[in-house]
Amino acid sequence: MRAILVILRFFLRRAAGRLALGTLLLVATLAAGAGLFAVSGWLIAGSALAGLGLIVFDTFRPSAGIRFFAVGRTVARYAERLASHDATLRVLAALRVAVFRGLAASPGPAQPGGRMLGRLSGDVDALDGLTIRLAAPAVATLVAGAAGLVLLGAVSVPLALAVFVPALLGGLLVPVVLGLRATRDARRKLAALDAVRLRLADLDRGRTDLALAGRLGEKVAAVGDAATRAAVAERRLARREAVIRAAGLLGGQGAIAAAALVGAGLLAAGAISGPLFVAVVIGAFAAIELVGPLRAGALDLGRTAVAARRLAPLVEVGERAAGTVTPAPAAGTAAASLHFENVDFRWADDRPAILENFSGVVPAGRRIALVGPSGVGKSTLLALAAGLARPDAGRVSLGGAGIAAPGRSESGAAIGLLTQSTRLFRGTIADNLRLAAPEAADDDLLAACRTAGFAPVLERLPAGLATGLGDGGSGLSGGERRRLALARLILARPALWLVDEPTEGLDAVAAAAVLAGLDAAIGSATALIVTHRPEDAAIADEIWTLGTDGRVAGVRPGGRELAGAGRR
Amino acid sequence: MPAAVPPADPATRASRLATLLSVAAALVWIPQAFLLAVALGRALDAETTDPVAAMLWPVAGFLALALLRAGLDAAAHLAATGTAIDAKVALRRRIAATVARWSPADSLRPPAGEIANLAADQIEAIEPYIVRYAPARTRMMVVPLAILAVTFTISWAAGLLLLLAGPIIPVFMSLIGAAARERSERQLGEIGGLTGVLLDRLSGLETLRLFGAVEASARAIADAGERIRSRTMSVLALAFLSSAVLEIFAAIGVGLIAVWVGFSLIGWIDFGTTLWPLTATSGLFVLLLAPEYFQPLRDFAAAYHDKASADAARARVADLVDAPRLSILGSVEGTAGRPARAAPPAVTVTALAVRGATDRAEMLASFDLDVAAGECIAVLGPSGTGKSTLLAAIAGLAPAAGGEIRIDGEAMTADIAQRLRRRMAWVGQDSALFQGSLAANLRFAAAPDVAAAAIDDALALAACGFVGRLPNGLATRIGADGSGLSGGEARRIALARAALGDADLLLADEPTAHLDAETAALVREGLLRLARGRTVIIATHDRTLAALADRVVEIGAPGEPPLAARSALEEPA
Repeated sequence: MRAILVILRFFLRRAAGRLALGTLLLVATLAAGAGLFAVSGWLIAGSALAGLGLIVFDTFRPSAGIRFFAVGRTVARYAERLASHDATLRVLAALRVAVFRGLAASPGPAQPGGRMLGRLSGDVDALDGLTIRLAAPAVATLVAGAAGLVLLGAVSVPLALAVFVPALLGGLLVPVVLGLRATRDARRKLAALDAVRLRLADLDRGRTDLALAGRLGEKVAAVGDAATRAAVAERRLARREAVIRAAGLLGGQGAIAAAALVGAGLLAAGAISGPLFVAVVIGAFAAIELVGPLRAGALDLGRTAVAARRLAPLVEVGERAAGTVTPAPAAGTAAASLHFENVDFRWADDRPAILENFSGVVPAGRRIALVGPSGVGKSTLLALAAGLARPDAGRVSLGGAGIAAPGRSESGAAIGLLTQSTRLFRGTIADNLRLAAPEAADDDLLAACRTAGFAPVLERLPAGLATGLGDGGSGLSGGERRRLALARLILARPALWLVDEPTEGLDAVAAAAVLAGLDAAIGSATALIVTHRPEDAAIADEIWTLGTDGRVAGVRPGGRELAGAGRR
Repeated sequence: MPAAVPPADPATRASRLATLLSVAAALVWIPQAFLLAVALGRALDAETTDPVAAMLWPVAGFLALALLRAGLDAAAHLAATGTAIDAKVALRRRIAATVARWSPADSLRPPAGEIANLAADQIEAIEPYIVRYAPARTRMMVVPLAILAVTFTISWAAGLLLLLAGPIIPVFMSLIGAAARERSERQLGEIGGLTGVLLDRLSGLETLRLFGAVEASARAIADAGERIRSRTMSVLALAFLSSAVLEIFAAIGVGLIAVWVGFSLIGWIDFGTTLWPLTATSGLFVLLLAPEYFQPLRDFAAAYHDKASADAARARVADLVDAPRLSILGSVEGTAGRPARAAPPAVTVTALAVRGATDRAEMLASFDLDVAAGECIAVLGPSGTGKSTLLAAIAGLAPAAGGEIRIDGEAMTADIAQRLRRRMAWVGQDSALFQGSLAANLRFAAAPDVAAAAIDDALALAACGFVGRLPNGLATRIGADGSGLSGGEARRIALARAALGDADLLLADEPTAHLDAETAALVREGLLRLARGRTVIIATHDRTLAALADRVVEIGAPGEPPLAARSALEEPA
C-alpha cells in the first residue's frame, strides 16, 4: 500500500492539474448520468399525476433537463477521456524516465539481464493503469458519492443514507478491500509465469542434454506444472472478482430498493412529492454507474501493488537522482600510465578470489596485449581499470589519479572500454556517435568513422549518418556494429583504451577490418587489450601472459614492437 | 455484424455455458424492471393509503431477482474465467510439448525468448476474449431483441424509437471497429515503443555509464514519451468520438422515450400504445427497459478489440505448432530409465541423409561411418559440413531422410530411440547447466543413488580442480542461464556430468571450441580419460584433438560428396 502511495504521489507531482481535471470531469459525467435518470423519472411521475389532474406539472423544465443531461454526459465523458489519457501518457513517460534514472543510480549489477528487463517492462506496463483504472475512479466515486450524499441529505438524511450506504459498501469498500488482498495471488501468478518462461528457455537451450538424460519429458511436465500453478492463483483471483461483481451489482440494486422503501415512507408522511420520489428512485440507478469503473479495475489492484512494490524504490532513487549530472569525461587528455597496486578482488563473496595482491604498470602510451587461460582475471583487470568494479583492497590509478566513476578518472580523463557487451542503441547512427561527444559536428563524426573503418559501411547506406538503427543497433552486422562502436569510442578520445576480445566471433575479413581500425584509433594512447587470438597481439607493443595464480607469468614483445624493431 | 460462431473454435464452444448464464443474467432485468415499475406505480396511485406496505412485495421480488441476477452473473464470470484459464494451461502445455520435439539440428527454429514471451505473455490475450468478448457478442444479439419485443407489447411508438436506433448500429459498429483498431494498435505499437526505448537503453546501461551519458539518455526517453503522447492524443481524439456517438444515441433514445411517456400520460399525445392504455406503471416499465437495450452494445464496443488480440495470439501458437520442423525421434514423455551398463556399442551409419524441414536442403548427404565397439574416432572438418547434424542423427535427435543408423545392430527408430539415447552422453560447446546447485547439475544424468565418491572421481577425471577452490564447493549456485561459471569451467563440468552418467557411447560436439589453449588442453585430457571403456565420436575442427583419437574421419574434405553449406545458420563461427 505504501508503495502504491509512493507511485501515486509521483504521478500527482507530474500531472496533478490534469489528473484533477480528469477526475472532475469523471464526477461531472457521473452527475449528468444521475441527472438524466432522475429527471426522466421526475417527468414521467409528474406527467402521470398531472394527467390524473392531481397536480399542475411544468413539463418544459424536465424535458430541457433531459436534453441538457444527455448532451452534457456525452461531452463530459469525451472530455474526461481526453484529459485523463493525456495525463496518463505524460505520467507514463515520466515513470519510465524515473525508473531509468533509478536503475542507473542504483548500486548492484552493472547491467540488468534479460529476465530482469522482462519483469521490469511488465511492472511498468502494470502501473500504466493505476490512475486511469483505479485512482481516478476511486476518487471520483468518493467525490460524486459525497456530493450526492450532501445533496440528497438536504432532502432527507435517511433517504441519502439508504441510497449511498449500499452503493458505497458494494461498489467501493468491497472492491478495494478484496483488490488489495489479491496481491498475494497476483504475485504467485507472476512467479509461476516467470517459471514458465525460465523452464521453456531451459527446454530450448538444454534440449540435447535433456534428451540424452531421458529428462525432456520431465521438463515439459515442469512447464505444465508452472502453468497449472499460475492457473491455481488465477482461479482464486477469479473467485474474488466474482464476489466483487456480485457486491457491486447488489450494492447498486440495493440502493434502488432502499430508496424505494425509504422514499415511500417519506411520501406517506408527505415529506416529499410524488415526482421527487420517483426521481430519487430512478436516479439511484446512477449508483451502478458510480461503482462500475472501479468494479472493473479493482482486481488489477493486486498486480499493480506487486509492480508498485518492486518499482517504488527505483522511482524514489530516480527522483532523487534527477538533475544530478555526472560530469562527462574530458576528451583528449594526454596518454597516462595505468597502475594496479596490491589489488585484491572477488566478484562475489561465494566466488573465489580472482586477484590477490596484484600489481602491474602499463606505461603511458604503451599497448599491452593480455593473454592467459580463461578465469584468471583478464576481463576483471579491464573492469577495474574502467571503474565498473572497485578493488576490495589496493588501488587502481591512471596517471596518479584514482578511478572516479565508470569511464572517468579523478582528474577527468576519459577511459574507453570496448567489449562484446558494448551496446549500440535504437536511434540514428549520428545519435549513437554523439553519445560520446554531444557537441561533435558531422565532419568529426565522419572522420571518426573513417578511422574506425566504418566509412565504407556508411557510404553504402543511402541515409548515411541519419540511418536509423533498431534495438541494440540491429540493422548492422556484427562486424559493422563493432566498427561503429569503435568510431563512437574514438569520439570520446580516451586517454586509456581497454579492449576485450576485439575480434571474437568475427570472420577473418571483418576481424582484419576491426583490428586495423583499432590500431589507428588507439594511436598514441595507453591500451590494455585482452585476447586469446595471436592475430590481435599484432597491434600490441608487449604481450603479458597472466598465470592461473593471478600474476603476470611472462612478458614478450608484441607484433608492433617486433615490426618496429625489424623495420627500423 | 460478425457471422455465427465458427464451430472450430473450442474455447467458444466450451464457454457456451458462460454465455448462456450471462444472457440469462441480463434478461432478469426485464421482470425486475416490471416489479420496480409496479412498486412505483402503486406508490403514486392516489388510492394507495400506505405506500410502504403496497410496495413491500414488489420490492422484495425485485431484491430476490437482484440476488438471482448477481448469482447468474457471478456464475457466468466464473465459468468463463475457468474456460479461459483451462485454455491457457492447455496452450502452454501444447507449446512446451511442441518445443520439446524440435531437433537441436534445426537451426531455423524460433529463438527461445520469442517462445517464452508467447507462452507467458501473449497467450494472456485469449482470456479477455473468452471472458468479455464472447458473452458480450451473444448478449448483443439476444438482449436488445428481447427488450424490443417486450417494449412493442406495451408501446409501438417506444419500440419504434428503439428500432430506429437499430439500423444505425452496424454503422456504429464499423465506426467503433475502426477506432478500436487504432486504439489497440496504439497500445501495442506506441506504448510498447515507449517501454521499448526504456529497455533498449537499460540493456546498454553499462555503456551509457562509461560515456557519462545516463542523464542524456533520461532526456531521450522523456522526449520519446512526449512525441508518442502528442501523436497518440491526435489518434485518440478521433477514436473516442465514435464511442461518444454511440453514447449520445443511447442517451437521446432514453430521453425521447421519457418525453413520449410523459406527454402521453398528460394526454398531449394519444398514439403509440399497443395493447393497453398507458399508465404510470407501464410508462415507467418502458423507461426502465430502454437503457438496457443499449447496454449490450456498449459492452460489446468496449470488448471489441479483445478478438483481434486473441486471434493474433492464437495464430502465433498455430504457426509455432504447425510449422514443419525437424523433430526428435521417439517419445519425449516421462523420464526414461537407464539401461544396465553393457559393453560399449558399435555404431554403423549407412548412406545417411538429413534434410532441412522446410527447404529440404541437404544438411548431410549419403554419409557412411563405421565405429567399432570401444573405438574413439574424430570426425574432422570445417564448420558447416554437417558434423553436428551427424551427431544429432546418431543420438536420434534429427530424423534421417535416407539411410540408417545402427547402435549395436539395433536400428535407430522412433519406438526405441529413447532407450538407445539413454546409453549416450553428450558434451557440446554449449552444454546446458540449469538453475540449481552445482551438485544437482552434476547428478543430472546420473543414477539417483550415485555415491559422493563417484562425484569426486568424475570431477577428477574432468580436471575440475576449480570446484575445490569454490568457497561453497558443490553447493555453489548456478544461475538461471548457467551463469556463475566461466565457459571453460562449464565445459569441464559437462565432461564430469558425462562421466557420472555412466553412458557407454560418448558424443562430443566441438568440445574445445572457444577455449584458451590451457583449458582446451585440460578438456582434451579429460576426454581421453573418459574415452576408456566407451565408444566415442568427436566432431571437431581442432586438429590437435583429432590427432588423439584412434581414427580420424574427414568430412566435407575434397573428394567427399558435396554438402550443402549451411554454416551461417548452423554453427555461428
